[in-house]
Amino acid sequence: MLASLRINRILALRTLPKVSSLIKPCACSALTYIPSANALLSPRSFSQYAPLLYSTSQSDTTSESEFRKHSENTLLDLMDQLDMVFESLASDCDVDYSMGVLTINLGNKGCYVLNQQPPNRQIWLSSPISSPKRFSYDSATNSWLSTIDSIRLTDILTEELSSLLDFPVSIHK
Amino acid sequence: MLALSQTSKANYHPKVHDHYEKPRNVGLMDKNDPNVGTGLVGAPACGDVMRLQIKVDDNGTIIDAKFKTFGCGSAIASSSYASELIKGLGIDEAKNIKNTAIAKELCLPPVKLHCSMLAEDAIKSAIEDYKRKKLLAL
Repeated sequence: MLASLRINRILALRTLPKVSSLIKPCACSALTYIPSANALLSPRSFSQYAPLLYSTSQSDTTSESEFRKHSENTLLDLMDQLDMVFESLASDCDVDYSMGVLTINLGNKGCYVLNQQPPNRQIWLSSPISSPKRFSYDSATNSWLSTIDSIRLTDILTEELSSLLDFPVSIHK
Repeated sequence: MLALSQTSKANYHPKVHDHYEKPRNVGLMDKNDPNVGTGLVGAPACGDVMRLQIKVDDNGTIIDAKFKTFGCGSAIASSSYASELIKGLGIDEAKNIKNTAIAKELCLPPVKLHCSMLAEDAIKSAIEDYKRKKLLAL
C-alpha cells in the first residue's frame, strides 16, 4: 500500500505541469530576452573565434534526441533516489523535475539546480556550496564527469548532500 | 490564484536590471595592443558568449576594462559588474575573484550561477592572454 502510494507520488511529480518562471537556464532565456542593450553581440561576430571557444565537438556524435532521452533518464533516476532519501529523513526537502530541469530544494540549506544543456550535450549543476559545474557523459565509465576535474556527478552529490543534511546520503548510478 | 501569480513572477533582482539596462564599460580595445589582454569565453551554441578586455599598466594594475556579451540578462549583468570590479585591481588580485562574489552582488538565483562562473572565467582568460603577450614580448 505504502509502496504504491510512493509510486503514485513519483508519477504525479513527473507529470505535474510547473508554472514557468521568468528565470530559466541560459539556453532558453537567451531566446526569450529581447536584445535592447548595446552590450549585446551578434553570435555571428563570434564565429571567427569559434576554435578558441569551449569545444562542443567531443560529444557531437550523440544526436540531440538521444542526449535528451539519456540525460532525462539520468535526472529522473536522481530524482527517484533523492525522493527516497528525503522521505526517509522526513525533512522539508523536496525534489522536482520539469522540462529538463531538476530542482533539489533543501529548505534553508539552499537549492541545487541540474539542467540539460543540449547544444553541448552536457548536464549543468548549480550548487549552493560549490562552484557551478558542467558534466559530459563518459561512455567508458558510464557516468557524467565534470568538465573541470573529471569528478562524477553522483560523487559530488553524495558528498555535498551528506555534509549539508548531516546524514550519510549515497547517490549512485 | 494569488499563489500562481507569485510563483510565475520570479523576477531578476533590481541590480541585474540596472546592469542590463545600463551596462558599464561596454566596448572594444585594440587586441594587438601589448598592454591589452582579451578573454573570450562561452559557447555560441549555448547562448552565452563574453568578451572581456583589460588594459594593464606597467605596475600590473588594471586601469581599464571593456566587455561585450551575447547572452541572457544575468550574463550581461555579470560581465558588466565584473568589468567594474576589476578596474583598479592588480592582476593577481583580479585573478582571485570568485564567481560567488559576482553572484552574491547580483543576487543571482541558483539556475543563473553559471553566468557568474562565465564572468570569472572571462577575467581569468583576459589575464592569461595579457601574461602570454608579455612573455612573448620578452
